[in-house]
Parts: sequence; C-alpha cells; structure tokens
Amino acid sequence: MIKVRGLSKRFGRRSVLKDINFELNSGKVAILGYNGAGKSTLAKVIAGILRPTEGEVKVFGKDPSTSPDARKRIGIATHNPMLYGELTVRENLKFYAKIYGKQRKIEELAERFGFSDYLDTKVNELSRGYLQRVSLAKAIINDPELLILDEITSGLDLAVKKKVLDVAESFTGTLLFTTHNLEEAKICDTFIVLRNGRLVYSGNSFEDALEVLNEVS
Amino acid sequence: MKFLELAKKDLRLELKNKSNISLMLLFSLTAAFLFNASITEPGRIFSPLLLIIFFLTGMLGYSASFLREYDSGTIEGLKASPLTPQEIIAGKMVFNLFLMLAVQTFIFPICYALFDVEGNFALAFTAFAICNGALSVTITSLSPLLSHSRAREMLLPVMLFPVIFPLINSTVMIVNAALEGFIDFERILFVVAYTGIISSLSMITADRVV
Repeated sequence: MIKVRGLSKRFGRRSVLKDINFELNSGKVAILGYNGAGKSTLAKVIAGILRPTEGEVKVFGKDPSTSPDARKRIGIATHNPMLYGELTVRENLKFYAKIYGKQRKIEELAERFGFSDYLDTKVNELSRGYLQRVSLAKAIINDPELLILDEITSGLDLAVKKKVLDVAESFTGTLLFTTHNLEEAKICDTFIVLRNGRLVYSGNSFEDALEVLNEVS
Repeated sequence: MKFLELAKKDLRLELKNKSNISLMLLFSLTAAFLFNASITEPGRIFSPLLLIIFFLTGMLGYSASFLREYDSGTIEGLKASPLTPQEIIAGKMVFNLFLMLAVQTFIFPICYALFDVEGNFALAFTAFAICNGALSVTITSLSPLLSHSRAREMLLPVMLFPVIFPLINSTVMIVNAALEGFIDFERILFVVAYTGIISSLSMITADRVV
C-alpha cells in the first residue's frame, strides 16, 4: 500500500528527511520521533501535499503528489485544520465532499463527532477541540482507505482526545498516526521511529521502538 | 468540473467577507473621481485610466484569492484533495473573472458618465470586458509563482507589468476603436492569443508551482 524508497526532502538547504526506506501493507502505524524529527513532513509527503526532493513514494501504486486517484483514497488531519474560517462547518464539509465527489450526509458525520450544534457556526468561531473534530470529519469525508493523523491530539482536552483515539482505533483501513504521546501510539501495531530525518526503527515491537526512541534522546 | 466547486467556494467566501470586491470598488471609485476632478478633458483618457484602475485593483484583488489559500494553510487541504494544480488555477480564474465582471459592471458606466465619454457604450463595454478578462486570467496565472515569496506584494507589480504591458497597450487601442464604433479584430485576436499562451504556460508549470 505504501512504498517509500530513498526518500529525501529538503527545504532550501535544510534537510528534513534523509534516505527513508520502508514498506507498509495495512494496519495501524505509528510514526514516532521528537520535535524536528521529520514526522509531519513524512506524513505530508505520503498524503501528496509535498513532493519528495529525491526518491519516490508510492501509495496504492501511484505517486500521491501527482495522482488525484491516489489522493482520493487518502484522508489527512493535521494540527492545521485546513478549513475556511469565514465559512460555516456545514459549508466547509460540503465543499470538501464535493471536490472528493462524495455524497456524504454532513449531519451523520456531525453526530458521530459531536458537533451537530455547531454545523451552522463559522469555523473561526469554534474552540480548538471542536475545530479538530471538524478537521477529523473532513479527513474521513471521502471514506479513505488510508487515514493520516498528524499530531492531531496535541493540545486537546481529554474528552476530545478520547474521541480522536476512538476514531483512530475503530478505523478499518490503514492508519498512519504521528504523535509525541507514546501512550497514544499503543493503539498501533507497527512503529516507525525517526531521528533527525532518518529512519532508525521500523518494526512491530512497541518496547523496541521505545528503546530506540530513548536511545535517541 | 470540480474547479467550479472551488470557484463557488471562493464566491461564497467573497459574499461573506466582501474584502476583495469592496477594496476594488473603493479604489476604482476614488481613482475615477480624483482623475475626473483634476483633468480638463477626461473623456480622452477614459480607456487608459480604466486600465490603470483595473491593473492596480486586479493586482490587489485577483492575486488575493490565491494568496489567501497559502496564508490560511488551506492550500494544503486543496493539495491533499483530488484536485489537480491545473484545476486549482482554473477555479481561481473562474472566480476572478466573475469578480472582474462584477467590478466592471459597476465602474464602467460610472466612469463613462463621469468622464462625459461619447461613443458606442455597448461595444466599448464588451471590448473592455474581453481585455479585462485577459488581464484577470494573466494575473491569476502568474500569482502562484509569487506565492512563496516573502516580498510578494512588492514583486507582484514589478513582475506583472512587463508581462501585462502588451495587453494594456492593445486594450487602449481596442476600446478606443470600439468607442468609435469599430471592432479591432486583429488586436482582439492578439489579446486572446497572448492570454492563451500565458495561461497555457501557467497550466504546464502548475505541477511545480502550486
């Protein structure tokens, strides 16, 4: 499902990802690493938002940065909600549903994520917690086969965090979950650890990933 | 036709905050009244003045719809979606054409009356709309090139003026001919071809630019 070969990403002279190689088929995958390790950049490259500087990324056999078909099957939620502040929650979700070519019932999503009362509220009037709920609803509006959650729980209260983790846990497709919080990573069955843009661990043992992460620090 | 959804979304945003349209209208009206008060025969400068107004307001308004996506981070949502970079540019072009037509519909008759212009109004309006549309498409095509620059507000006029100059020059001739009741097909063809070339180049490079 995801093939990453010799992936490097530079912003100007700053090298953020260096020669990353891994292959994932399905399941729940946690990308772990400290600040500046390159987790978010890796997530954005896999989502097709950023292009690799070197190497290649294939998702569903296609380069996500150039293939709309691949992107159609991916959902992403990051700490940047990617929503239009002046539009209401309903207008934002309708817009994304239309560009993904999906006929989703916005009310159903709102009920599932607990923001039914805020459907006609402008996005820039929402609290951070509700903003992330809407962002998560936006990420799954296209019924993705690959869901990428990038640091989405940071700064959220426990109730919202639980909601996000419930969604992540119950997601039946492939989940890519970047987080600082090691407890949250326990919902995953595969772990990738990044250090200064390099992949230092890839495997199924949480304990080993933790050990490598601690070596890093 | 997903790009139309993007244009509709921009239109909905514009109807809510009215930032671009009010800025463009305010600037246009101020310039029109100032020039009218200070020039003895304003009818003679009708077409070049309108062009200056639309060039400057266009730089402010047409590029804003693009740059707003970058500033708010919503460009990432568009890039992660199945929209292609070409569809993103096309959506912005449609919205800006609408914006241009809305401002022209309001400003053109005011300037026409204010400057005491004599000539064929309908023909001049149509000719100006064609050229103004070309201006809008060209500015929209070039806006993403500057989206990553920190000094984009300064760079925009510097970069746009040499590219747009052939359009401005031709438009003055086309509108003057239209006021006299003639259609300058040769120059209209040039404007359309020039715009086609610029927008095609923009579409070809869109993958690397947006």
